[in-house]
Amino acid sequence: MAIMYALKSSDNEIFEVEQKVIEQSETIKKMIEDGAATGEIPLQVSSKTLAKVLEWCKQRQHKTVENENDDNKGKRKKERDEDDDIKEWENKFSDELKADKDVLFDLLLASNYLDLPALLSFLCQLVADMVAGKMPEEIRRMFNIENDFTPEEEKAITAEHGWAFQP
Amino acid sequence: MNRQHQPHVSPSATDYSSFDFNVRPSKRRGSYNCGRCGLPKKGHNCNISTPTASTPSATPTPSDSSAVISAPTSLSASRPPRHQHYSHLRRALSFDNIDLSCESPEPDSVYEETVDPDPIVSGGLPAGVLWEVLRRLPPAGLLAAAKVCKGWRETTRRLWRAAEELRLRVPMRAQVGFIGSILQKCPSLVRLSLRMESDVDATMLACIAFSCPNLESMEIYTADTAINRITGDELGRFVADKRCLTSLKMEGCSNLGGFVLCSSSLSTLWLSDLYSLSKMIFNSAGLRGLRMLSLVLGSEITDASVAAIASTYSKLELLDLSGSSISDSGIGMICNVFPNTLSRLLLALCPNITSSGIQFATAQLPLLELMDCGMSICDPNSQDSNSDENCDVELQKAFNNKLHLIYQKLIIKHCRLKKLSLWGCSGLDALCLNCPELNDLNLNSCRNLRPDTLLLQCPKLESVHASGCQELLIGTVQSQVNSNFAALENQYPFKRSADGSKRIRVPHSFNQASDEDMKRRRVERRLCNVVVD
Repeated sequence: MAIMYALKSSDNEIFEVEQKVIEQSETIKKMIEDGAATGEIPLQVSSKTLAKVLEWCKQRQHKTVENENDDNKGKRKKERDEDDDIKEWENKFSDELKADKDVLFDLLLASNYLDLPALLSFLCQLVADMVAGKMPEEIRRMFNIENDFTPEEEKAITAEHGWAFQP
Repeated sequence: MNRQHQPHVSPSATDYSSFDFNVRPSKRRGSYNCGRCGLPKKGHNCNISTPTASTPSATPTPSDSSAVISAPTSLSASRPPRHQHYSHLRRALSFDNIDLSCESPEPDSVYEETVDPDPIVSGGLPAGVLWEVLRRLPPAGLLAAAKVCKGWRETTRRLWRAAEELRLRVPMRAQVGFIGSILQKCPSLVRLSLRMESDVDATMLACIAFSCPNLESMEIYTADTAINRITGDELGRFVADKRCLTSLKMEGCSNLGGFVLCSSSLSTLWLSDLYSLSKMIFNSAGLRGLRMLSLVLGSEITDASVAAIASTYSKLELLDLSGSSISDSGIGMICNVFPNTLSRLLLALCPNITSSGIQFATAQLPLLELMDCGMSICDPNSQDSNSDENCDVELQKAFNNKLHLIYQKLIIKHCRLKKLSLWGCSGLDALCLNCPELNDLNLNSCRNLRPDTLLLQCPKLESVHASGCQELLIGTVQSQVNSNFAALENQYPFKRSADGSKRIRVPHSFNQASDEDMKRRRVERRLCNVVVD
């Protein structure tokens, strides 16, 4: 019988999750080890984001369990199929996130806070892919950043890297 | 992934994370000292147990905005020192198809090196996360990111500073200033690889020497449009100056002339396109540590040069004299000097060597694992053969039979050889290989190799490249490779009788188990791949 934990989101929604699934989060794992996690575990993550995080964790969990059950026979082919499945799932996952940048950034911060290295690195790559090839102005719009350079500073930077923006 | 336990971001930098991208993050930054015992956090493993109350999410920081997430600094204190995790992590960024990578600068140490006590975080991302995002950008993206805002500029600056490896494509119109401005950003560069589309000259070399004090590996590749003007003297000065340099690769060395290289650190030297190499001067004291030497496409490299190489470097593990004019006697010298060290020998495009030289090398160099003799044993009548290519097979065969006396045979028996390349050896008509470790054989365009004189006894072969070979030969390769395999299996159902004189077939019921085994083995064994275009 799997041990279940209750996670409470910042907007007070409760998520029942298996221990194995949430232990991927170093932060929560630590809390459980320290005995801090009796009853509900309150997290500073919105329910919408937390649902996404758990979706990721369950998919990862699924993968590791299946690998353990495999014996050597025909492993190669199976692994390849599995990899394809995971790729497909990840593509779908990232397409959803790309469509809704708010969710993406929420998730990025949540994965940082919950210390989920795999998710964090996946998301950072996703964001990097979105940033790559964009002009500074487009990046600012994407992240909602204000340009805090003075015109002089901006000029100096452009002079320094003028060639970077040449075709 | 076994990076599970590596925190990807510096918790000490994650104090200020706000969804409101316009709000300047708080001035406060994570403490360098452990929250519990007060000792400096770097390299510190706190042994004071974590009080439950300080556990990060058990006590969510009350905040006026629900959007603020704070990752507590105490998180890092109970963990082993971060730099141990990071030390083997590599960072890679790419520039066009070419990258910049830096050996894992742990964000912590990077922050510490800055005097500014207030590292700016912006774009709504915690500094550590921003670092993780930006380090995945290609250099061009990184330069664009530097223009976004001050916080991003700062992070990109740190990324450049931390970079240890840079791969850069230098566009045609770029001036020395281009390389200079990039190299100035990365003083800790250890490995530099340049793909030059503009000309290469001594000024650039001086710029590299000046900007990268710790350079260990330098590669310069030249595009067709670029001219490499570096002379032997200039290269000699560079090598003498760079005391850490262990590996030097340079393409397009057509203006090198002669050269004298002196370096106690250099272990790999790869120079290509040595068309006009007038004289080879090997300073015997110069490169004592050399392990790998490639002098490619130097038609002036002769047996005399081999003698000089052989008398100078006694510990070569790799020798690549592809495109040289050496002959079998040069191979003989190589065999005399390097029997105990040489594991890779590349003699592609050496028209003066013959199959007996190659046979001799394989017989005399017991450590050999890789041998490339591509385009060396060429058909003396290649022009005729070429014109024959469109004729039907029968005609060509008749033609070949008539000429086969001048074709060469190659017999190699070697217990270590793993890779053998005979691509374009159209002068070969017979090949016999007994190489138990061989796993890759390249016979592309060995178009005069005859199926009836081919013998492959190489049980570990994984791929044979045979495009441009005779149809029949491809069939023979396939069947021989598979019979190697079959022979292995046929051993199973037989058992020696008591007197040892005769083999009898074991009744079927006896070896059901082994049958299962075999099936299993058949599945697991990777079948040899015969690759044809």
